[in-house]
Amino acid sequence: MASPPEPASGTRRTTIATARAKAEGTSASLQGKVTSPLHSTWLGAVLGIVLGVAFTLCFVTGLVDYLSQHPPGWFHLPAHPADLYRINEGVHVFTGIATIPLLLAKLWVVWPELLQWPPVHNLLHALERLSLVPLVGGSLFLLFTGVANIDYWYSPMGFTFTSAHFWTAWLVVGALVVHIGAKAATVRTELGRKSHRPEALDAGAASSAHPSPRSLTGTRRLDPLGGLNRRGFLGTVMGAGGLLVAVSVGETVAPLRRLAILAPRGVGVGPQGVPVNETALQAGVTRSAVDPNYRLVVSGRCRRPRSFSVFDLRALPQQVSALPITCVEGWSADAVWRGVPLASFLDLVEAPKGASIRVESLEGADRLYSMSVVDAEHARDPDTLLALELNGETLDIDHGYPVRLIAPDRPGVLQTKWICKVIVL
Amino acid sequence: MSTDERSSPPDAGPVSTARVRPFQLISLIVGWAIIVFALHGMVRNRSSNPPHLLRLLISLNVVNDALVIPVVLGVSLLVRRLLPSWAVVAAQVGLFTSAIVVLYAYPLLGDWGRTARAGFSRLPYDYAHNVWWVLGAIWLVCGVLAVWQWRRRSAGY
Repeated sequence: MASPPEPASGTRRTTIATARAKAEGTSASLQGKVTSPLHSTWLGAVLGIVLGVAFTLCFVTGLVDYLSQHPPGWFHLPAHPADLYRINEGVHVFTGIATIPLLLAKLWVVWPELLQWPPVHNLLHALERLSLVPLVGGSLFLLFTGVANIDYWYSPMGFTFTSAHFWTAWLVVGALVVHIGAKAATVRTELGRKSHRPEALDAGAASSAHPSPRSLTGTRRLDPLGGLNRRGFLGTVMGAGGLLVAVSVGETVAPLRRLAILAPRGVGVGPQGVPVNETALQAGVTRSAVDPNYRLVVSGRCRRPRSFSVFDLRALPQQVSALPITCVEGWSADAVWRGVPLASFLDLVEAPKGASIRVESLEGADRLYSMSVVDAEHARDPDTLLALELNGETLDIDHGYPVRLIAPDRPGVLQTKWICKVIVL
Repeated sequence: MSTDERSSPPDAGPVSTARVRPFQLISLIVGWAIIVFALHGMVRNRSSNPPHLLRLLISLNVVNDALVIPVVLGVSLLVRRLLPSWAVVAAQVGLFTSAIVVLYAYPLLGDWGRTARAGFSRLPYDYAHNVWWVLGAIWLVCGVLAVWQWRRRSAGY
């Protein structure tokens, strides 16, 4: 005989309630075992704020970097100051490096959150919790691919680094906005609560019946097993971030170059004292670049399209520009270039004053960054050159012999080497 | 253990129990709009290999929660239980910083970027050697910290 529906439903409800109570009990019991002072809301809040600032800085500079590499019609970096792109890139890369210990520390501090039961309370809470998936996964992804990019390690990626890094950054920023909204009140409360500050905790420990011994930082130790206190942990995290920056920043800050023992590039190391990422051999131009029949062909929207041999280019008025070359991998180097000012070159072929140009390389068109567009401001800037010499010598073939573009505030990948075509747009 | 030491679980409480604030609601809407925009951008941009990328993003969560956290938890418990109390802080500092350095230097140690680093720009470094130097410096500092801790403990601080 079938049971009446109401009691069955009642039994089910009781079973569910019992299971829920049991789960809550287990969760509370596990959380109760987390006694380390490192898993505190205060520490989570402090690390969260620092991480928020670091990620924002990385996102803004990364956005500028991406737009500089893939310029839409409405954006280009101004041509001066000439170190603008270099500073932007340096801030992006080295803030990202310093963020590695911060992120791992934050994930460690908040892991007991996994024990929370019930995991979600309502729809909004579910959406907030769900946003942690892109926040955690995306943040780890950004730092991992960022480091891999610095080290030229692309084989494990399976995607184009720039676009994957760019869209994941947006994903993380969206999740970060959700997270900030959810935690803002908690952070405000925690940081405003005097009893949660390390000083207050020290005082509390000092006045307790069994004062604990002092720790290395001079504060009262709070961990009964003698582990790091929160101040010590913060110091360790900041120290680890500083150490990573110290052993790598010398690839762009010349006075610190001797310290850069964990960097893949070094200031002053490379052909003519300037590093290169792509050699002539890798680009497949070792023959075409030194071909006696080489010509630089000018075409497009100009009145006097023509072609130039290397000797023709050398015969034109030359100019010297001291411009840095900056790579998206984080290294940069000062260099002195000599060549034909692009502005006077464009006047020679009677190109319109406001015209942009496209330069194309001897590399195959199928290769990434084998061409680039120079906007009118950069094309007419007095420092922009069709460079023929570097640091007082004829361009090395790895630096783009016979002629390359060098312009202020452009990513290294857009300083096109082995130029064979200039097209006025 | 004093009451102040007993830390509340991180980030628990107000999120779930307090009423929803306007700022939280606005952040939720704006944040999810950006997430949807990002997912759309990923899917539209084939070069980002969306299926692979999304799998990777989820896998990194799993690796963190199911692998890294338990391993760190285990090591942390071992350090706290096995070492004398004066050595625990130094060991924690040393292990954390060393792990970060090794993780950061991992691609260099494996020399996986070698093909792209061909040519005269390649630094003449033995990165394994350099990592050992950095680790040596870290543990030297940690050793000094441990000795200092031991002396303070012996002096009755």
